Amino acid sequence: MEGLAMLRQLIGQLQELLELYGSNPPHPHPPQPLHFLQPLHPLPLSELHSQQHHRLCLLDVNDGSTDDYYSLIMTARKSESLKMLEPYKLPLAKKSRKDRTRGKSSMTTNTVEVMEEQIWKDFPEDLFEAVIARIPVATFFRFRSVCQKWNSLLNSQSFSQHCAQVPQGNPWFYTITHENVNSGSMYDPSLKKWHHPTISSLPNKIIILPVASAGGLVCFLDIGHRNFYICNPLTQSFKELPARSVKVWSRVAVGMTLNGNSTTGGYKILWVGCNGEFEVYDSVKNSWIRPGNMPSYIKLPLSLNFRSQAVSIDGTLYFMRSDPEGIVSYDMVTGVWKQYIIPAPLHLTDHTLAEYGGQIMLVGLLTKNAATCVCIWELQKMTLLWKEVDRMPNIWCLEFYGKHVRMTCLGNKGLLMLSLRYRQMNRLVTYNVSSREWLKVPGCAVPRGRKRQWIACGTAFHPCLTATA
Amino acid sequence: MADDGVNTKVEAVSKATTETIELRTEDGGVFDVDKPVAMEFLILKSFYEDEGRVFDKTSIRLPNVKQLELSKVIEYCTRALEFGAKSAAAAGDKDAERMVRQEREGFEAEFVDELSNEMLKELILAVNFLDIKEMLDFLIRSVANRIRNRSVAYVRQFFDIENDFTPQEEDQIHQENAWAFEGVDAD
Repeated sequence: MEGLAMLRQLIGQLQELLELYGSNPPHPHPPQPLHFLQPLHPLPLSELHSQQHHRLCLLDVNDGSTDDYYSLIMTARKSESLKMLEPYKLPLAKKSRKDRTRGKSSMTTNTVEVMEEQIWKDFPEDLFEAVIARIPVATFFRFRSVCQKWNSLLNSQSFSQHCAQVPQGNPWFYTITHENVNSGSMYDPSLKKWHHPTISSLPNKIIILPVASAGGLVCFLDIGHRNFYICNPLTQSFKELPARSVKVWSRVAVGMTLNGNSTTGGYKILWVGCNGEFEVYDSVKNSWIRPGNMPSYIKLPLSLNFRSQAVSIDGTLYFMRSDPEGIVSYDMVTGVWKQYIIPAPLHLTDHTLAEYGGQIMLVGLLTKNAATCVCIWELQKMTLLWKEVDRMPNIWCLEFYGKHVRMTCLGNKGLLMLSLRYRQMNRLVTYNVSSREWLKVPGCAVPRGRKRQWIACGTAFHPCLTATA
Repeated sequence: MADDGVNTKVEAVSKATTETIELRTEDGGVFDVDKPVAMEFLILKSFYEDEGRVFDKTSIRLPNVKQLELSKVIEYCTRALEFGAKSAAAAGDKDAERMVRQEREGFEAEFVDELSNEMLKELILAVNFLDIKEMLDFLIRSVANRIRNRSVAYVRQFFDIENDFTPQEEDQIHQENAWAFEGVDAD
């Protein structure tokens, strides 16, 4: 109300001035230093400088009598353009510190630099989401505290679509360490950083182990092989699967596939036991379905290689077995089992399946006369034989000479993490299948802890902000 | 990039006299743009191809684009086409491919380094209007890169976003996502 009264007063005074000096251009230009502001138009400064334009005015504050009008206009209108009228404070030469530190900035066509805050005001929501979708995953979680809107982006359909359009980078690794069996440690190979989330939704009284992953979700099985849990380690979206109908409590191998391109289309989980029992969970129906018995041409018992994770290619799961050595596969769409007899390379231990670009691969330790090396093989489809394609650099292998080494392979698609253990050492290495790059991994240590932790097991997963269990 | 065969692109870029299109910006700029470059603007491409118009020399007015932005867009798209051609020529030779990739990364880093935040935003809006997917992705990634290693307070100031959390709410979010804050220095 105070503002309104001031405004009225202002208008009254302006009207007085108008009568005194006239507002039409043909009038002889009054010699007084007093000019006054045309109240309804925000004025770019360049126009104000123009002498010809009688309707536009610049308050000359040298004349003390205009001070009142000036301050009145300031309080009544509070417009940006009036700020620019502050005498002797034209922001022409002043560059804000932010701009100076941000590299060379191109001069805008206006002579006055636009205030920093104005830049993103008309930026469409859609493009904002596109920017945020391209921020590194860990940084996104930090930026959730920027404002309410950013915090709720995880629930936004449009944001999900933006994330889906960003090409997927390296997978992360979710691992369980011997020291902390009830919580996980995640490794980001792009930034070479370990993270230690607390996933409060996961049961912490029982030990659960990650056994498979697809589309950003990780499938956990408790150590007694009874209950399955699905979780997105980043967002803690979590679900306990209904109890299985087939009560098989012995060890099982597990595979997971997506129905479509993302978890929104649903996912399926297959477990298979050594006596040929198997069952499939369908997330769309939220129930277990038993598609049938294993066909007789599959030789039983299945000596499944439990250290090896199942490999998924185009909706088909591949499991490694021995006796006879080879692979059994299950097509999640057609429900067909197939068997491949493939002789294993000699002197091979601790081997697991992997996959890259539709090509099945094998990773394992080759030990010959006290020399141990990590080797990579490719499956030749025509001959069903393994062909060696790469080895860990010799210098690194020398470390294991004469020692009894065990290896666990985490992740089996594109980027593999190998955990090599002997005596008191736990060496971690990543192998990029396409670039054939071997990289050392920094040791895993909890914050404020000094001791390196031992990796027991784990799985790779694609860090996906919008995957929901 | 446009899915014409690479050969067509290489030919088009190296021909002495290429077909050009005249583009006029809203602030009076006039540009003669090589046709292959102009066809990267999907808004133009669909104007000609989808609507079956005959390609003639009439000039096109671009209502939402200013001359400063258009000149930058033309610069980027021209170089991008060149890199595409070089990359295709180097296919199979890993070292040559790497060299082209590095050259391109160098050009892109320099290109974006010279842009103020305001110019970057104006370019994004122009490229969004012209519908140039690859350049849009590049520019948006550049904005993401400018804030990725910054503190939450910096990001708020950068975009002029008000903090609408109570201190307790902010604390709670900090706690829930504590793992992401570990080992990060302020700014």
